[in-house]
Amino acid sequence: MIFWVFAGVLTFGIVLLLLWPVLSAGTDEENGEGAGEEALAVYRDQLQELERDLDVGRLGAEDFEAAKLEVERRMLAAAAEQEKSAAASPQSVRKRRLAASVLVIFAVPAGALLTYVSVGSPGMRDLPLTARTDGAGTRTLAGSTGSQATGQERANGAQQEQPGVSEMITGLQAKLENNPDDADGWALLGRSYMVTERYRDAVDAYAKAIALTPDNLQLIAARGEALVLAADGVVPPAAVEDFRAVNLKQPLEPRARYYLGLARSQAADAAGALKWWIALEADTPPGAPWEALVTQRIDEIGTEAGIDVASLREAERESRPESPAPASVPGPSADDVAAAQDMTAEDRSAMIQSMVDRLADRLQEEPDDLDGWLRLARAYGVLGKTKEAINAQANAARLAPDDLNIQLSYARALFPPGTPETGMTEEFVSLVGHIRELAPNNPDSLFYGGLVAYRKGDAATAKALWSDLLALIGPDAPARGMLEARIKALGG
Amino acid sequence: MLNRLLFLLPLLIFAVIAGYFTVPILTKKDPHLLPSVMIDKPAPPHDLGPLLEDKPGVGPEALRGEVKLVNFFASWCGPCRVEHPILMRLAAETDLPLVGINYKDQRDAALVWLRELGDPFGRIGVDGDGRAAIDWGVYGVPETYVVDASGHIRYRHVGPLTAQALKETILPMVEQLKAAKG
Repeated sequence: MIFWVFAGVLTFGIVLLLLWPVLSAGTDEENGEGAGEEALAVYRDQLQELERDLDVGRLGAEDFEAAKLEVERRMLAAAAEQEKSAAASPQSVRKRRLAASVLVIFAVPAGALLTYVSVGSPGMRDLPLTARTDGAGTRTLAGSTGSQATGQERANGAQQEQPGVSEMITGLQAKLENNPDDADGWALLGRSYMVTERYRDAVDAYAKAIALTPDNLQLIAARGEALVLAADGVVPPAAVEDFRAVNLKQPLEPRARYYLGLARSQAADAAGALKWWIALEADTPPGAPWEALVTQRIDEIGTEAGIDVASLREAERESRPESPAPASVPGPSADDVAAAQDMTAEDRSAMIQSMVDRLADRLQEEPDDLDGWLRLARAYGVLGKTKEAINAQANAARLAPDDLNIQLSYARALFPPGTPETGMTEEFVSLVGHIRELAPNNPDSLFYGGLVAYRKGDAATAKALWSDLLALIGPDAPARGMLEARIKALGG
Repeated sequence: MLNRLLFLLPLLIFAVIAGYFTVPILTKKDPHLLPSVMIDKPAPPHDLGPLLEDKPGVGPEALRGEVKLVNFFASWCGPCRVEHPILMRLAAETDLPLVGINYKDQRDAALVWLRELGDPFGRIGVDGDGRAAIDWGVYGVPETYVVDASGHIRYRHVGPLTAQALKETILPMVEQLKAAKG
């Protein structure tokens, strides 16, 4: 309200300023009259001069008459002119002044109002000094005093942009109040909060949904992302926990891998970040929406930290025997990829799903296609379908019994990192036996061998194998601490 | 004539100010590298109350005994947020003690901040009115000091910590000071 009073007073002042010269223009007219008067005076002087010249005898009588006549003629013309303008001016000038005044009085406030409504923000809230913690005009970063107030402010800002979403949020909130056990409802509410940039509220909504369906990894990843956005892009410890939980159960889930890498990069651990991102990049199907981002991040951090990214990529590629897709397996065509980029997330996952289904159908008919099974296993891994991924890995392992990498991938699928030892299956135990025969000195083989021995209660063998492994890996290997702890737990 | 000169006056003033700021740039004097007058002097003996109930504040005694980093931070400070994961990593992966000084902050905001981003500090003192910061010579948060075992300030890093500053300057200096002490 005070704002409008100020604006009104200012506009009124401007109008007055503009009207001033128009209304005070009366003096100008007098000046014009004065000019006519002056001309007449000059002519009168000229007449007197002519008479003086005549008296002195400098001018003949005839010349005098002619000159006098000429001056008098001019005087008449000047007088007539003056009369005419005097008669005409009051009306025409008044008219013009009126037009100018009206224009100023109406056009200035109207123009100001129009400009403000289209360019300004009439709905902008006050930013009282008490609500700022930094003293300057910058946005409160941490939602400082109460996330409530900030959330409310943000909500108001968002409501103007997306009335549909905010109505939906209100409806959902009411519905969830009556039926708080609706996990899908909470998840949807979380997503809506994300859209309206109420990240802290999104975290809470996702937490409710996760409490109801603890096994939904997508929700955990979504909450992790909300935590990151609520922290203005910093990956906070709680988000790291979420992403780690997702990564343990779904090692190929890209979002968790990306953010875990980001957390390392924010902690100034370029090598750690590259480990995550280069592996993610190698697993990323061409044309995936995050492909460009990951590649760019890798290049950036490599340049920044002076790390040779190309050789790391090369090493990653070499560690994956299955990566070059053979021509016999139809991949997504260029059209498919282009189409996928225009799709919504749901359409895109539907398209990926249908491509995976096509591949799975074909493999039912041609079960001896090793590359096909490997591709399918990875696709299922990305989609988070653990059981199907294991099945595909089993088929690949059946077709390539002597390929250590494929056997190890199968072992990893059967017994993903973080699984408790009690979750060990017979299949896994016999597979590890096979791997031990295949490559007794491979680090993974040693590790799994130790695990199986430990599970069987053979602490001595477990300790021997893990000690061998410890000697094998470098002093900076990240797994070292974990391994030492395990050996210690075995007793000395 | 005098009138004309009057019109030129703002231009002259601008030229003088621009020159004042340009000279240090051209002579490659980075204002951030201006040595602090506090370097190699004992850290100011302020007794700062604790921010958290279960964590001690920062008294004069707290700054002696070990080589440590003293970090000035505030919840309203954007760059503090950027460097925070680095402090968290130092806390998790090294045994370097981290001392936090919460600078001109609202207590509730600082608590929310630490709960959200994690608390890397072994002790946190509250410098609500910024008096201690003035004595330390803080330009603006974040700022990080290396304090040696005798409580002397040995190095000062202005702005958010970076991987480079950590690797090339701060951590080597910490190692050196530790060795000198041992």
